[in-house]
Amino acid sequence: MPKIYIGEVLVNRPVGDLFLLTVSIGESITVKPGQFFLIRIDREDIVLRRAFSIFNVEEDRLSFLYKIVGKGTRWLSERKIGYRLNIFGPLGNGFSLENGKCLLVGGGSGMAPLYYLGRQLKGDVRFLLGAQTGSFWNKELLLRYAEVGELEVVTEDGSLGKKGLVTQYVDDSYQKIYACGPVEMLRNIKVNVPVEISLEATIACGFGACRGCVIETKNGYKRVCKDGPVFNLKEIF
Amino acid sequence: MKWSLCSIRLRTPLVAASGPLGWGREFFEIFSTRGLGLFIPKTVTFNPKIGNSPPRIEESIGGLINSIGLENEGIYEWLKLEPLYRSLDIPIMASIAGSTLEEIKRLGEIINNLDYIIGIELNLSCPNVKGENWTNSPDSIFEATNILRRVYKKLIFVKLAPKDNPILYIRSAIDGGADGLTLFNTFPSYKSIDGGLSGPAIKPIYARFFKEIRDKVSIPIMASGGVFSVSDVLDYLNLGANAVQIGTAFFKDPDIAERIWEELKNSLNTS
Repeated sequence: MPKIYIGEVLVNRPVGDLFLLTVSIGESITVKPGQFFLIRIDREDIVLRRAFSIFNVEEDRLSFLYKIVGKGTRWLSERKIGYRLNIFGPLGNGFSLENGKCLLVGGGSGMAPLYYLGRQLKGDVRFLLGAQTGSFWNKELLLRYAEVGELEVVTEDGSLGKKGLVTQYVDDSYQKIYACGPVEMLRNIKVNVPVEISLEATIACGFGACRGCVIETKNGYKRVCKDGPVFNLKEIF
Repeated sequence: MKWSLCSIRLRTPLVAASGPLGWGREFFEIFSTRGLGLFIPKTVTFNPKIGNSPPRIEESIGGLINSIGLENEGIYEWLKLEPLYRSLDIPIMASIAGSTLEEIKRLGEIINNLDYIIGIELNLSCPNVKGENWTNSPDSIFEATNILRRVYKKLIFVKLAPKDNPILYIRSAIDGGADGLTLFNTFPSYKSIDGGLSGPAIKPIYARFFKEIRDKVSIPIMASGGVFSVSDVLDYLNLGANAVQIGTAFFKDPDIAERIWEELKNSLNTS
């Protein structure tokens, strides 16, 4: 059951183009990979919380990997160690775990939920991470993923790893594929194996009540915050 | 302090506004009624409505624009929530909207038989539904209120839109038989979506409307618009509101009612 926690900031620093935030909530809780938390932005001019999928859970510590995209995430990136963040979650459905060989595809900051997912999967895990250029990641971050599974990186400019788009390197040789990233990336995953994708949306209530975050699916409108954020690729595209 | 709306006693003056918390199913699984005096579920219509196409929400400075379009599963699904509404320890007021007078009448007839519902908030002011904006003329407000009055025996609160010359629209609702008013619905706005603005940004505007009308109206009023803190609640109470609705602030703090109520008790005790 989701709850409001006070998360004391332990870590909040850049890792490449992203930020790594770790908070201590004072108790250990169960979080499924792919679930998210809503973090309150303590500014009077910002009404909505910001949604972040879980990057990692260890004992009473929750970690998030996020990109600065606007005023809210800028404010978050400026929080110092010891700041007490108001955090609501865990919310959403999360990924369903498959035992066999799995490919975890992350575009840009879409890599965030895949680390914890990789840690929870029992079978072979292969990460395929993409970015425009190699400096998007720092070494520390890539090493952490490499500790959890086989890691391959793809950059659009070819400055690190293979050149091109991650979707060029996705194939059918897996029992299941998990993906998170830009909509165009997700749309271009063309395979005949089950694919679960995690979607992003502006979230208001976070628990399915307000109907603000609905998206069009093949089965009608669905709430990203409650029916998702994880959907079957075929239901969306 | 004692709080009431007509004959209905409220344990606090804080009301969960219709909309943000849906019909209450999900919210009351996670949170309690602490701090709340009254719950108004999201507007129910006679037939199910799929609502507007996404995107439906967008932030603006100090506010939120929404265009949900009254998505709901219709009155027959809503009736299935009876066990939930009976289980809550606060009164429940239904919010209804109709695209025709006949729909309003039928909703009124159905809800009139429900002993667990203390009244109806008649939503004549959703800014996000094409062709159903009863607020456009005082005559249509009178007609819609009056058709409900003829079939519904308990409390009727009419929820109006913020408009110039509000007293004109208010008189129509009163003449139609309203027992009280909810003032006001969201403010029509446009950024990249066309919808209704809520949040701190609208509060000074709404307070100005209140100042203009309160002395001219003797029936109970629930204030609604930009309530995020105890000082917002006190402002509306001081302007003559009988109860104060909280809406968008639930997104920032799902436990907002409890938080505000604790502070309100303290400030009323010390003043």
